[in-house]
Amino acid sequence: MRTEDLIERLARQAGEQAPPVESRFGAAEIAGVVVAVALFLVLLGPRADFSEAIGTPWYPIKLVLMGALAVFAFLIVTSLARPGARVPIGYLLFFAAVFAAAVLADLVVVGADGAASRMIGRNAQHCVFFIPLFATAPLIAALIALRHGASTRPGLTGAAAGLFSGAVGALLYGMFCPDDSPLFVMVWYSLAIAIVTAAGFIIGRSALRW
Amino acid sequence: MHSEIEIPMKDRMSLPEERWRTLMLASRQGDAKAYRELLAELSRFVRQVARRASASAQLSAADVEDVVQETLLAIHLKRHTWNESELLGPWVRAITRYKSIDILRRRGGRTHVPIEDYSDQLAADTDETQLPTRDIIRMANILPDKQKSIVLAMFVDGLSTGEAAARFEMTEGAVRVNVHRALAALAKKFGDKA
Repeated sequence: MRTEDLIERLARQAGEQAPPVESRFGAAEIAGVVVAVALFLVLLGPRADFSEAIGTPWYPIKLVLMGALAVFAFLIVTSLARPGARVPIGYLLFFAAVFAAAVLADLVVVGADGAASRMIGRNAQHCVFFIPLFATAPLIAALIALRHGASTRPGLTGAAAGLFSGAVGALLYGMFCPDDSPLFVMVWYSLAIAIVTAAGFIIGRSALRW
Repeated sequence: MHSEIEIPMKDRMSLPEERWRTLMLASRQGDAKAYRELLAELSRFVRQVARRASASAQLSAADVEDVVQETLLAIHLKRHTWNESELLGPWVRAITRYKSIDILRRRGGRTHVPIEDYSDQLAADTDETQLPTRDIIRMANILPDKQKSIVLAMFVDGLSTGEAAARFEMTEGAVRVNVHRALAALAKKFGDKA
């Protein structure tokens, strides 16, 4: 076929256009997050002392941090799905700075002796199991929605989708988790989110090619 | 082989951002003339890029034109991924770069394109707007004229079975038979297992 003929055929579809990546991603994530929330409510649910915990400093801070991470990762992953778009990576640096400040603050309060036990926590294995579990549906939804995009860096985009899903999983699990110290979050939540991010990278590398 | 493929783009070529943006915005409003003009300009840009890249990959003029067509098709299929708040030039560059590398690698490496990737879409009913993003046009070239025009109308222009039937003045059943035969022919040619 001559290129002119191709252009002629394509030009007839002017004005017809699929919705932007953000709306597909958002719609898919409504489904993904609903599944994750349902799974969370069935398996765990918020912790029994929720109303007291919410008044402590670290429990709400933990949840806000994970929520912020999810929002930042959403902005990053949707921009990665658009070729040539600026990727707002600065959000991650901002997040890292705030998180580091929280860790330092906790260290100062509890001192070196308290730090080790706070880091080990009570439920580390739970954390590393449940966060990826709750992240699974959001990750699948994200990868499906991202195939509608056009990532020129499939692996990186998959990893960002994993970061987003991991943060959603961490936000949910965090509502149940009795360990609120930033020191615990730094070690175990990070590990769990890193697992999901790595899974996103590996799947994305092939699934997000186009 | 892979590492030899270079897509030099960041340098030298400055793109007519404002013109392309105006044309793209108009074509989003349904202006086919503006869209045709934009695609023609983009095809020249992509051809320029592909020629430079092909110097190292030793491609024929026909291969270069394949790169141009597949990249244009990709730009068309992914046109919703351009956000009006972003620059259009980097978007075109990024797609061109990605697609050229992809196609040149495939040319350099394997030339066999498995039909399995497309059989779902060929078999599916065609109100689907997500078209197969690679090779369909090139693959369709092996088909007899009638099957080829039906396949292209349905899978490139996105016509439904009914619309294709109307365009080619045949029944929907006849359209389906043609698509089925085309699919079988493509499977025979490009896939051993399909």
